[in-house]
Amino acid sequence: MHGFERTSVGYVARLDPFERDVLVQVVADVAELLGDRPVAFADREDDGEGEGGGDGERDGRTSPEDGPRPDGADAWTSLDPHRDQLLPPDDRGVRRLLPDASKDAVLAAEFRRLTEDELRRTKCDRLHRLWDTLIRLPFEPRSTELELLVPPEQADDLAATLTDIRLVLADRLDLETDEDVDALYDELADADTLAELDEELDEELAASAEAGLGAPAAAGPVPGASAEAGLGAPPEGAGSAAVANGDAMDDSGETERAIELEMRTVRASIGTVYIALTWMQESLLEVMTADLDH
Amino acid sequence: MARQTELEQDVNAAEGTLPAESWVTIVWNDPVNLMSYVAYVFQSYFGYPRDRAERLMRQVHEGGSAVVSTGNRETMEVDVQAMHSYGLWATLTQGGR
Repeated sequence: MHGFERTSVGYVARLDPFERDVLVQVVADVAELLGDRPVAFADREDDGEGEGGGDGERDGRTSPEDGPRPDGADAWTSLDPHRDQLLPPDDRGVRRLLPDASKDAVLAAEFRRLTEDELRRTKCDRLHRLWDTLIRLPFEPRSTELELLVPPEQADDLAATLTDIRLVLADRLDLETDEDVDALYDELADADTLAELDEELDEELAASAEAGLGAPAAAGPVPGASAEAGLGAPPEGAGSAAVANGDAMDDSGETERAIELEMRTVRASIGTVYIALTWMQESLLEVMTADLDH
Repeated sequence: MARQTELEQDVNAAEGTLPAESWVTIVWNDPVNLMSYVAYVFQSYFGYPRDRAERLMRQVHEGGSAVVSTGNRETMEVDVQAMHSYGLWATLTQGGR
C-alpha cells in the first residue's frame, strides 16, 4: 500500500488487489453492522447465479436474510418518524458510530429519535460509495497496483468513513485507551506475527485431527487479514450477522490451544487492518490539511 | 486520541463566560481518532483558524474534552450531529455543563 499523494487530479493512493479485497470486505462488514444491505453487496453474494439484478433494484430480496439488524433495530420500521422511541444500538461498535448526544438520558433519547436514522443513512451511503469505488479500481498503468483516486471534494467523506471503520475495528480489538493502541502496535510490531500464528494454528489443528479428536471442518489456513476477521457481533449478540465467522469450525474437534490460537490469529488480522487503515488515513489527512491551509 | 504531534500546550480559550441559557457542544477524547483529523474537523467544519483548531484538539486529547462551540440549542444540535457524522463523539449541554 502506498499512502495518499496529491496530484493534479486529486489525492491518489495505491493498493494491491489483496489489500483492496480486505478493505472491500471490511467496508461491507461495517455497512452490514449498520443495518445496510446495499444492492451491490447482495449481488456480490449471488455472483454467477444468473439472477441478473443490477439496476438498483432489490429484486424482492427480502427474507430470510433481511431479518432483524444485528443491533436489534429494524431497517424499515426505523423509517417511521412517529415511533415513540429508539433504543441505543446494542452493539458497542455500532453505538460508537451512533453515540448518545447528551449525558442527560432524556435529551439523548429525544435526540436519537429525531436524528439517528439520518446519521445511520449518511454513514451507510458513504460506505456504499466507497465500496462501489473500490470494486471498480483501475490498475495503475504498467503496474500490478490499483489506483484509488479521491477528488478533494470527496476527501472529507473518505476520511469520515475510514474513521467509522477504525472505530468499529477498535471496538473489536478492545482499544479503549491510548495505551491499548500502543500495546497493539507492539504486539504486531513483528511483521511475521500473523504468519507465525497461522502456522502454529495449522499445526495444532493437524495434530488434534491426527489424535482422532475429530477433523476440524475445512479449517484451511487463515489467509492473512481477510474475511475471516469478520466483524459481526460476538456469538452472544443475538442475531449476529453472517459475517461473524467465516470459517465454521467444528468446535468439538478443537483443542483449547487451537481455540486460543485462532482467537489470537483473528485479533492479529483485525489489528493488521486497523493499523493499515490508520496509516492510510494519516496520509490522507496530511494532504487534506495541507490543502486546507492554502 | 492517536498520534502525538509537537505542539506546545496552550491555555484554555475564553470559556467560562457563558450566559446561563446558552448551550455548548463538547467533544470527547477517544483513542482512535487521529489528532490531525480532529484538528482538521475543527478547522474545516467550524471554520476556526489553524491555531485555535489545534488548541481545541490538544484540549480534547489532554483534558479529555473541550467545548468546541456555543449557541442556542438548535445550533448545538446541528453541531453535535455533524461531529457524530465525522466520527467524533460530541454531546450538547446547557449552560456550560
